[in-house]
Amino acid sequence: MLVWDPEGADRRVWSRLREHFSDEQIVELGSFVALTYGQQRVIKTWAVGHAELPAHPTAGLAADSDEPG
Amino acid sequence: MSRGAAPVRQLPGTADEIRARVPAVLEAYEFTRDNVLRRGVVDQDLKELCFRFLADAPATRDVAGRTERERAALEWAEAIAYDSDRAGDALWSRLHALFSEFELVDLGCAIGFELGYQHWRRTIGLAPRDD
Repeated sequence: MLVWDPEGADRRVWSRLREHFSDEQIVELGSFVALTYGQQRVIKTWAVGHAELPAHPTAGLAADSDEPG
Repeated sequence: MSRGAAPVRQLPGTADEIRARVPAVLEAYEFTRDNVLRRGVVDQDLKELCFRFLADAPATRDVAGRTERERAALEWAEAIAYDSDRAGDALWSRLHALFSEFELVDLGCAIGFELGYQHWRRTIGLAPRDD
């Protein structure tokens, strides 16, 4: 939703989020998705995929991003 | 990426007040804001033009009177936001002719950070930008 249709995050979406996450977790998760989304869109125009930078094969944001995503 | 009616606000406060609920989130945002969004090797006016384009500011859609650097930067911002296939050899040839590699890294990362932050703001019912 954050990536493809931000305005589509309606009451139903937020209600489901709050069934599983605290507001603080929602803030952190949303910020992580936003950061990752934006930078992945940039490297896609470089024709580079997530975790595919040759000099830094483990440079993905995810803590266990040893494998290309 | 439709721009329908703004969703109902689910988290009160300004964007920074919401980020401050998780101090590390606010700290990460402030670092990118102070070091990439508001500083860097690329002219700040050019970054702001791209940020307004991402926020769908109508004035940025008219490229008449724009410099070649502005046109190339806006086309790259469009490719980043909507269709990476538009960043083909022809656009990259122009970008390399008009910008140093340092500038391309700075500008590209700034556009990416801003794109993500604007989407995050929109999901919680805030305008894409404060201005």
